[in-house]
Amino acid sequence: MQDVLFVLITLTAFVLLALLVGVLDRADRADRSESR
Amino acid sequence: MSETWPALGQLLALVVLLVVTVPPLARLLAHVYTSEHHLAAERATYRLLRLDPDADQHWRSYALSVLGFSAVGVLLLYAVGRLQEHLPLSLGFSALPADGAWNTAVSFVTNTNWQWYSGEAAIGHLMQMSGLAVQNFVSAAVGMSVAAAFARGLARAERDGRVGNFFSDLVRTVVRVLLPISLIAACLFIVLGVVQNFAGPHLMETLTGGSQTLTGGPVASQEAIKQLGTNGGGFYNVNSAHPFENPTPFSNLIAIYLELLIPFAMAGAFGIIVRDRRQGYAVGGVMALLLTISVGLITWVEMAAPGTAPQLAGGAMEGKEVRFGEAASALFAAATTGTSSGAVNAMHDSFTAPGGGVAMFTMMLGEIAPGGVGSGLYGMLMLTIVTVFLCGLMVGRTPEYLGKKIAQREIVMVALYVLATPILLLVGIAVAVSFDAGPAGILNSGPHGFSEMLYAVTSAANNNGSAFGGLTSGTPFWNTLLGLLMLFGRFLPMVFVLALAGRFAAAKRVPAGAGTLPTHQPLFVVLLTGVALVVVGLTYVPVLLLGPIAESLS
Repeated sequence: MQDVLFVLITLTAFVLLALLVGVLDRADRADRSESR
Repeated sequence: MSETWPALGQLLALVVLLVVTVPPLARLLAHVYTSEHHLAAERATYRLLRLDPDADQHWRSYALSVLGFSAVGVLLLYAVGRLQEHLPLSLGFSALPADGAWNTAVSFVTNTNWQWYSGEAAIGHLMQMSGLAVQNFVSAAVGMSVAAAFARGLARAERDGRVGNFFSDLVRTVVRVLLPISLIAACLFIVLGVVQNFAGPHLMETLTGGSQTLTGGPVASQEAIKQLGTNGGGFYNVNSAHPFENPTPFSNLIAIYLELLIPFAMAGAFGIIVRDRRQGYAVGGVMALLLTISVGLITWVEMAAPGTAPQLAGGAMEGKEVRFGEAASALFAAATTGTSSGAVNAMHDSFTAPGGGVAMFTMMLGEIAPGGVGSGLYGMLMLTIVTVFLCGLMVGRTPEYLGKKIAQREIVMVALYVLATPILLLVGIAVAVSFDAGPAGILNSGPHGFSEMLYAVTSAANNNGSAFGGLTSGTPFWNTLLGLLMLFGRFLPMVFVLALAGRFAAAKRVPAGAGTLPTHQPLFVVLLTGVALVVVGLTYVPVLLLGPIAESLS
């Protein structure tokens, strides 16, 4: 049970970080297309 | 007085070693990160893993590769820890508890190497070699790769956010830099008396008739990459204070030298990659200046410790190895907290209150003096951009760094980077003191007890890994809290660094004009040092007041 918990914590943390990458990338693209 | 000349001699030898070897290593690193040629061993690795090393990755793809690679690393190392008792060479040790295995996995993947366990009493040889030592190599390579991507982002123009290939950077760093130097260093350590065998625990009878268990193992090979990769995780519980891991003052000097070698060389490589070596000298100069301040302060406060015993011993010798003495312990403490190594050759909990406070403050700088392998360079470059921005505001010009304009979007990314670690650290210490399980682990009461907790969260959030001692952290509460701090403390800043690298790589290069701030001159070095100290000072002085400063005044 504890193993499942820590695997889930790991996956959640990395998924959140990957989502942050997506958010920053989208904001960057929007900013660049605006400045064009 | 008797310690003054050996101390100065040791410092001089260290400086000479670094001055002689950093420039060629910087050239090698720059070549590694710019060459289009692949070695045969590298090509074989790419074929095996079905990777295209020539694909120029967008920063988003580079960042996702970093995260994916590290996530797999955490899960694999966690599995090794949980299955240890079924593995060969386990020395009869049982599986690590779930929270402990997770903490250890995160710790080594994030290059922190915080150790809640006693290595010789909990970890078998196979886990040391196939789990921990492997991560010592690849976690260091991940940090160096991200720094290389950032340098490339600054050096490129109009490349649609492409910053290089993560897997190519990773494999090259391991094959061309870390493995060869570690091999030489491991052989040197063996010659100097560091043990290297597969012996298990031996019960020995001591001279006084007592008994003691001594464990051998593949220590020298691990010691080399532990120091070179600024990992810091010791084979033994007392780390580099153990005579099997760090037997002589000379092995101690080599250990310090290895910690500092790559961080300074990365600064030099940066100057070569951006085709302006003076930029590398400036960044390296600030790193050296901050480290010198830290070494000077810790040595001074430890040698001038008040009280009869310290004055008779020539310094506060509690918790320090007599074979190294006061100055070598202070130099090691400054180097290990200035880099993200975290190895220790003395117990920082026994340092004087101001000495422990300076060690903590050095970590709070964000590991930039000279910092971890890779993370030191990109951390310093982030503060460089803050300094350029502030100076630009003063003269009313749009600031630029190496021909790249620092506009609103760029400074937002830098601000997020600068705020990430302090937020993690301060929320971490708030959580630690808010639950009974936090203070339950401390050995001392009052400000010193608070310092024990503050040091732990500072070490974790900054990916240092050194322990103050005194804190029993092998509990589910501390293992989970520190694991989260290490994980987000490593990868949140990396994401912001890579996002900024992509931004720079996509931007046009602006020619330097009359209003461009020179970022290679001594004045800028002073400004950058001041910004580093002020940014950290304003952020952390309140929490330092509750711990080491209150203890110093009491």
